[in-house]
Amino acid sequence: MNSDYYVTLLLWIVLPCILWKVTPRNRLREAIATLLFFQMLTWLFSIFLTYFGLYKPPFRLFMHATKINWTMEYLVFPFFAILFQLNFPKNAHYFRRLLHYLFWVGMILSAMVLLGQISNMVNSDIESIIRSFFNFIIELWLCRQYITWLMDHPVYERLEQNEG
Amino acid sequence: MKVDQLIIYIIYACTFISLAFIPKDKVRDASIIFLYQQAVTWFAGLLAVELNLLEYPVRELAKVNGTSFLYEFFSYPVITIFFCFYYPRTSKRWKKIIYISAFSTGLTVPEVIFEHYTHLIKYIRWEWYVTWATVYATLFLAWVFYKWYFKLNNRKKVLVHH
Repeated sequence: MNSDYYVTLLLWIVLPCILWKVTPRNRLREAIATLLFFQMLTWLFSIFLTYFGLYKPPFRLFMHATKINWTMEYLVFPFFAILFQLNFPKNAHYFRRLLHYLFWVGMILSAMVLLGQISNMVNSDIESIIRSFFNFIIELWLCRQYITWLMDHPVYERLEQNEG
Repeated sequence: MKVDQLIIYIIYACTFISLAFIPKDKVRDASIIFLYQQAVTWFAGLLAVELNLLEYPVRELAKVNGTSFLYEFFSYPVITIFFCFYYPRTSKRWKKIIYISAFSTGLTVPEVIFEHYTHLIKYIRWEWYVTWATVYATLFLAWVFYKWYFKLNNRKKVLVHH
């Protein structure tokens, strides 16, 4: 139980630092939009999956207030979504883009398995891994639809310019 | 109990209808404000319930969630959209303060009424002025974020120069 707190704390320190380092300043707004939209998606997905009993994270912050694993949904999954978005091969071939989806979903699932091994933060049994695979494919796709729509506007080009 | 469910339904419906009043050319702005405020209320709402400051006896998805999903996921972010769109950006400071105060009061009064007469919300270690102050602070922060994200100050300068 105690190690779970350390893992959570470590995630909250390390992941934001990595994000700050890897996000180019002229794509800061794109990264923030990805973060916010993905948080909304994970909130919706997790709340309904948990409601229907398909998802039961054993350890979590806010034990009393929610059954959702808030750290994962608020920080860890959106973290991967931002990396997915920032590295997306926009003009590449269909297979290259498909590979990109599979690679980052693979990264998320690996993180889940890893965290499931070293802590009680996630269920990493085969059933939830399979479910997560499809969930994250859908979520990443929806997220990209939103970001492409958001940025497909003359105003947006101006926003990302001259960012120091 | 029945009345409580009905109120939740009416609030959902009104919030949904109000979406029609978002100007078509500002849907992008609206989506960013909406998502930003969701991220804030998700955290703040959980914190308030976890610390036993207040509770929502009648709520949706009660099995999973101790907070008010309706208010935090949907209504409050939508209200924030309209707050940001009509913010008196070029007016004097006291007018801005009155504007934010009006919104805070407009949200606090119904909450206090709900607290007294329904089971939608119960204050445990909470007061109406804490609601007022948190609403004031979160609305103002949302405006600051919106102004930064869409570089509204620069937009104004461009208009002045040309």
